Amino acid sequence: MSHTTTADHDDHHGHHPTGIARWLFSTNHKEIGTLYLVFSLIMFFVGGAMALVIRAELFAPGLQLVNPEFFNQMTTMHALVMIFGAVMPAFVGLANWMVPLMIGAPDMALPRMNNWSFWIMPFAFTLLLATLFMPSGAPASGWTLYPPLSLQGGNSLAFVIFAIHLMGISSIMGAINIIATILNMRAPGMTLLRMPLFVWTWLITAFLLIAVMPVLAGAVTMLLTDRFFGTSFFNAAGGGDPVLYQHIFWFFGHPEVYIMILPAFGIVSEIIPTFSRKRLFGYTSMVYATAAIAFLSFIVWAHHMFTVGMPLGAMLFFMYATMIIAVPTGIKIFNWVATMWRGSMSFETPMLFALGFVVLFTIGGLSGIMLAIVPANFQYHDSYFVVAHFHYVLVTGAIYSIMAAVYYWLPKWTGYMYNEKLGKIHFWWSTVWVNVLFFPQHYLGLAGMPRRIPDYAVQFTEFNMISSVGGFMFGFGQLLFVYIIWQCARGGEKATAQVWEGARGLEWTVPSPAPLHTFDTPPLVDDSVAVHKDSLT
Amino acid sequence: MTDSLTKKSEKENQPNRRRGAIRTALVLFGIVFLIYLTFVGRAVFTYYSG
Ligand code: HEM
Ligand SMILES: [Cu+2]
Repeated sequence: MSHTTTADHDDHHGHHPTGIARWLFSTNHKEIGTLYLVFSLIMFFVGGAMALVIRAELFAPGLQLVNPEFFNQMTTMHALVMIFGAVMPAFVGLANWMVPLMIGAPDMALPRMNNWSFWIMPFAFTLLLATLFMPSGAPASGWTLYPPLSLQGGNSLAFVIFAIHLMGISSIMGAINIIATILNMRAPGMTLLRMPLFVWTWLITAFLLIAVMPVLAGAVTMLLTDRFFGTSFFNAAGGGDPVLYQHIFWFFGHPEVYIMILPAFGIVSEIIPTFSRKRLFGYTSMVYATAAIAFLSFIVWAHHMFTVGMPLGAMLFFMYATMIIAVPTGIKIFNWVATMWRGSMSFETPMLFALGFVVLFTIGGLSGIMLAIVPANFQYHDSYFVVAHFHYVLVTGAIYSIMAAVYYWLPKWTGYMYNEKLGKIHFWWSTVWVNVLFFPQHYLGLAGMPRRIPDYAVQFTEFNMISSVGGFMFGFGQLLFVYIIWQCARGGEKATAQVWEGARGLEWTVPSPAPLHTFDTPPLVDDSVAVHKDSLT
Repeated sequence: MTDSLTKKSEKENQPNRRRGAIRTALVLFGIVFLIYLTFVGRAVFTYYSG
């Protein structure tokens, strides 16, 4: 049948460009999804190399390998690369690949903007990484770029800010595209409450992105004018207020951490039902819980700044508001457990990573609640306890979910099964060492070791050594991940369309590998296709 | 195939979906712009007026 996609301008059948042009000019959601995922994988290793510099220096007290200035550049760049280069693009890549397939759309709503969203990223990161080679070095004031410190560095700050603006524009365009796709391109019968949870969580995430990326852009624009154009928004000497920056930054920053976890919730909500061979327990409550978390994420930002001095009433408000987030988060965790209850479970690699997520993310959630207690926060703030907290939620949370998603959908993307045995080794290797890496950091923080320092008091030596060993083992283990993906892309056991016995949803109705163009004719969706209304139980 | 929402055939529906998508995108870009302005614009205003 002739092409009836909204993306018809890019589909001149038989005229597909090849080689580099194919990727440069692609408007196809699957190719762009692949680009995002490959980019994210590269950034994961760039950021990982920086983390290993940090862990190598911290293996023993004293200054051994790098000078303190460079150490500070490493902590700053590690965070920026991982957050904006690895985690966020990975989720956008997954959304590109899967959202159209899951809602029965032929492509994203705005395919050319999609191309642009991606191709901005390599430029942004070239700018950011180039600062490492500039006379004044990369930014070294922490990823939060707090003034006045961030304004006391070199001129490379201008490049960093431009890079952040570019990443912001890319994220905003990506988010707008996802919303436009979900609101306008669903197949007939795919009502909102029939959408898979990954689509729901991404819809809500995209709204968060739209609300907070311009705030970050505003904050760094003001930094730029303070540093280069003589304003004093954040300069006390000129009548400005450095604490104002912290409020604006965290008004972006806290929703940002949920931007990095809501799609993860969606992924886990796809995988656990598949491998429990049951429908998702509490589908609607999952949707409402996600929306509640998104709403609450806007009114908790000051829990990052309890120690700057706030009115008591404000501290109480932000403390309680933060703790309330535990309620919808708890709903989700109980729903996942209830989904598994009496299910016919099997433990393929995606399920292992999803289960690892449920257990280890919860540890990070609990340390988060400890941090939210104002008097306790006075003790923990800016210590390694915070580092332990956010690595549990981000590495064993966000990144585990991304790995789970890659194993889950890889057969759909490549048409081949990955090596299950190696996948399981990858999971267990990672899970052992990630805990060796991050668990001791809780103790270091409670014992008083500050974060972002290249040297420490001798009583912290043992736990730092253990953590560094864990870091190197975890890091090198990720090469196995690359090998498994590479092997799977090259061939192997042929995957069926269904791939997983218990899998439900439109993406499993198209062949594996998914052809370049799918759902040119929209499928008709009814309850039998809807993910949460299956009759498998 | 008839779209259950718009009661139109797929072919009639295409331009609609496309217009819908563009309209959604424009509204959202407008929101982004307004948020940016409330943060930077207001700060600039405060700065120059005192
Ligand atoms: C139960 C939910 C959570 C609570 C109660 C919570 C609470 C907190 C608190 C109070 C802090 C500030 C610590 C300090 O600097 O003194 C913090 C820091 C942080 N949290 Fe969470 N958190 C939660 C979930 C998450 C999630 C889901 C993520 C990301 C996926 C996350 C990422 C972070 C990051 C990155 C920081 C450190 C930011 C920085 O200073 O560089 N948190 N959290
Ligand atoms: Cu927060």
